[in-house]
This record gives sequence, C-alpha cells and structure tokens, in this order.
Amino acid sequence: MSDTTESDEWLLQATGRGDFASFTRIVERHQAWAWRIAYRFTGNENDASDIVQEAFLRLLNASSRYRATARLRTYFYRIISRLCLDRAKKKQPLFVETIPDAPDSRPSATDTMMRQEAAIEVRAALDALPPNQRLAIVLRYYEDLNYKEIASALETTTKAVERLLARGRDRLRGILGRREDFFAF
Amino acid sequence: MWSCAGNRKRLNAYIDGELPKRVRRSVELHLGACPSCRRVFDDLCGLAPLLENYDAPPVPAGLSSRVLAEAASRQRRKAYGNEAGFGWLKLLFKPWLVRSATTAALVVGLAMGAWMGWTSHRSPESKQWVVVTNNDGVAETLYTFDVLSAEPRGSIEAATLALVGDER
Repeated sequence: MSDTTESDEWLLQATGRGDFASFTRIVERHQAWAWRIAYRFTGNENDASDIVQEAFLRLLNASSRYRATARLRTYFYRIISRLCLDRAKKKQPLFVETIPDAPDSRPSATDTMMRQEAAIEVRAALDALPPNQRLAIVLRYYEDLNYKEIASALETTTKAVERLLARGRDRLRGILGRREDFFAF
Repeated sequence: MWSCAGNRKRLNAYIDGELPKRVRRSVELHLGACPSCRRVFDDLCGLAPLLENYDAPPVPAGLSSRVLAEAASRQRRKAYGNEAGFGWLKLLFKPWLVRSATTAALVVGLAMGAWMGWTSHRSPESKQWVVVTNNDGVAETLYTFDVLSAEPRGSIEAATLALVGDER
C-alpha cells in the first residue's frame, strides 16, 4: 500500500465508509499514546482504559462525518482531552500509593525503590494540579506537544496554554522542589 | 534588557522554545546577568527530569480487543436499527429536541394553569370564600374545597355549604 492509503486520515475516511479493518488499524496505531495520556492524567488504569475505549468509540461514531481538513491525531487529542476533563469534573483524583512497576533497566534494588517512591511523589504532585493545568503539563512534558497543538487539544488559545503551563510549573516546583534532596539520586 | 518581572513572564515560553529568536536573545542576556532569574530558570528546567520518574505502565493486554468488541457490537446495533427502520427513533433522543419538548411542556402547563385560575376567578358561580358568623358574633372564614369552580351538585362541598347556610 502507498503512504496515502496508509495515512491516518485515509484510514478514518475508510472507517466512515464502513471498513472496520481500517478502524482496527487506527486502534492498533494510536492506542499506546492515547493510553499514556489518559493514564498520566488519571493515575488509574481502569479510568484510563475507560477513557481510551470511549475515545475510540467517539472517533468511530464521528468517522462518517470526518473531512480530512484536520489530522486524525489533532482530532483525537481533542477527544481524549475532553474525556479526561469530563472525567475529572465527575471524579476527584484518588491518590493511590500503588504505582505499577515501571520498566527499569537498572539492576539495583535501592534505585528501583527510590524511582518508585519518586513516581509516587510525582503522581501526588500531578494530582494536586487543577485538571486543565495537569493536562497541559502531561501534553507538554510527556507527549512533547507545542503550544499550538496543546491549544487545539484543549480548545483554547496559545496564550492561555502558556499561562496554564506557567501556573502548573509554579505549583509543581512548590511541591516537588521541597523534595529536591530526596530526588537527588 | 528586560526587567526581572518581564523576563520571568517569558521564561516558560523560552524553556518550551516558543519565543522568536530576537526575544530569546533578550531573555538569554538577562539570564546571563541576573542570578535570581537564573535560579528560577534552573528550577523550572529541573522539573523535566523529576517528571521523567513517572512512567506509564504498558497498555493493558486486551484493551484493543475490548475496544474493538464494543465497537463491533455498536456497529451491529446501528446496522440492525437502520435495517429495522428504527433510524428515526434516534431523532427522539437528540438533546436539543428533549430540551425543546421540556420547555414547551412547561410553557403549556403554566399557560393552562393561568387560564384555569383566571376563568374560575371570573366565574360568578365560583364560591371561594364563605363568611359565617357564629353565636359569639365572631366572624369565621371557611374555605370551600374547590377554588376553581362552583361546587358540583351533591358534592361534599355543596353539602358543607348548605349546612353552613342553614346555621346562618
């Protein structure tokens, strides 16, 4: 297949025409990053799975109306962001101290333990942020999106994104900065 | 060169590489000369390695199967609905239609209530209040049971009013 026929946009249009195999390809291609955003935002596997599932179903629903004026990724970022923020409105973040084992190549048990402790601290700091600041931080730091892309996902302006990130960073600095010595390993 | 406040306002955009080259240069000049702003800048830059400590676990096994199974099930339901000619039913559950129907029902209810109240108030047969004087000469006010219209013949209200009338 050529690049055009394999593009996300082509696949989504094919999905809109009833080609379920194309939808399967979209799910396989995009589930990993969708999952990462939802998980880092919620900190909970079940919530993140629900968000990812609902996002793909919304994408499927909208596929028949999709016109290739925007990239699928841009469109999907927006769906995920909306679902994350909706979920946050309904549910206060629940801080759970059980962070799943992260893939770690270092053999030292102490290092692994400290890394897990650090992950718990970061999770708590992220949970302390208001939802829109948390999402902006997740999209900027973990998905490496620029201001324009974050603004599109959050349906706001680049200036507002700059403010969200500035406030979010200030707050994180306040929380994590106090533990600077702890993290110095 | 910027003031410290002006410079700090631009630090986030500077770190994120969102400033034009000329403005970047001004921020860099300030950072080179201002230890206080430099400290803030270093703090902000220090966040990235801290946040890196928080890895997301791998995608749960079976998530894509779950998504695809639910999608296929919805597609089937949709196809069945269209084949069975129930497509028009979807229109009934459009949020704008539900909102409009609710508003219309409220307006009609209020209008009917106002009309019924108005017509019963205007009706000469309507007896809403009966003033009775008892033996002590104290006026007591009794309220009839039906405020919207005259009491029906043979009803409890009619019997009560007849009794009260006899006493008077």
